[in-house]
Amino acid sequence: MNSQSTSQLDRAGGQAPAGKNIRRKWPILGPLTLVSLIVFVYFAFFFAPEDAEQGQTQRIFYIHVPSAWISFVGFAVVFASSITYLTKRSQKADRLAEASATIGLLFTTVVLVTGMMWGRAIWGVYWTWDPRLTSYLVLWLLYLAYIALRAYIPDPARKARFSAILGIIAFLDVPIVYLSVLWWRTLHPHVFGPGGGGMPGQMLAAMFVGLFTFTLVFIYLVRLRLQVGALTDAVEEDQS
Amino acid sequence: MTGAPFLVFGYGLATVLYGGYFLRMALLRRTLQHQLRAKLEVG
Repeated sequence: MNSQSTSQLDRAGGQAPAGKNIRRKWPILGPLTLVSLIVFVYFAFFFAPEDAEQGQTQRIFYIHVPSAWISFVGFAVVFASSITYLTKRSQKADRLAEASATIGLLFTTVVLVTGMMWGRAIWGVYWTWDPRLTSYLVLWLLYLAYIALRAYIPDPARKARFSAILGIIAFLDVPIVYLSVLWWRTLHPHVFGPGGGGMPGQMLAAMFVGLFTFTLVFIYLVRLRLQVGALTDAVEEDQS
Repeated sequence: MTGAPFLVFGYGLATVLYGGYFLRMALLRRTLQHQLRAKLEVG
């Protein structure tokens, strides 16, 4: 085996190419995420009491809000990585932006659908053109456009540059979504932040467990996506 | 009103999306690892 192959296998940790280095950094992440998911299910379905007005439907909140939080975090990572790419032309930053956008879009989809489920049960409609809902739909479309842009530009340098620009512009919608409940009249419940309604302690605890758990899920999935990206590069490099 | 069907659909969709993405990436990682190892062994 030549030195190049040895180097690839080193990156591979002897068995698993490229991604193993990332895995070695946080060996506890996988088990911690799994345990956290189990604890989250207990808190969301058993620890938190049933809401007196909304009944079981209120439990959608424990997946809806943490997913929304992670979608913001994911797009903040895209924003920061895009700036890093444009200033330093860092391939790592471009890969991180791509991974965060893909997984952020996944979380955004869950937010939209769980919101629609809650809306149908409580408001009687799946959708209304409320400022919070509309600005969030725009966010979903912007990141869908980001993924589409990456898929349709063959040249890697142009792909990275154009998607970085879109990643920065698209992030401008995040503060609009967050502040929409303060700027405009809205039907959307306002629980946290200035003028928010707040919630009882046990429900709050379940919500914070959800925030912690979904943050771990996000980090785990991003790490997995980066491993796959590094492996794909290693295989293609070997073919060329 | 219990809203149980909406609750089940919401959590079910999240499980399918997050779990499905995890499975897809984990399987892809495994396939790529095998491909690279095979190529390195041949080389």
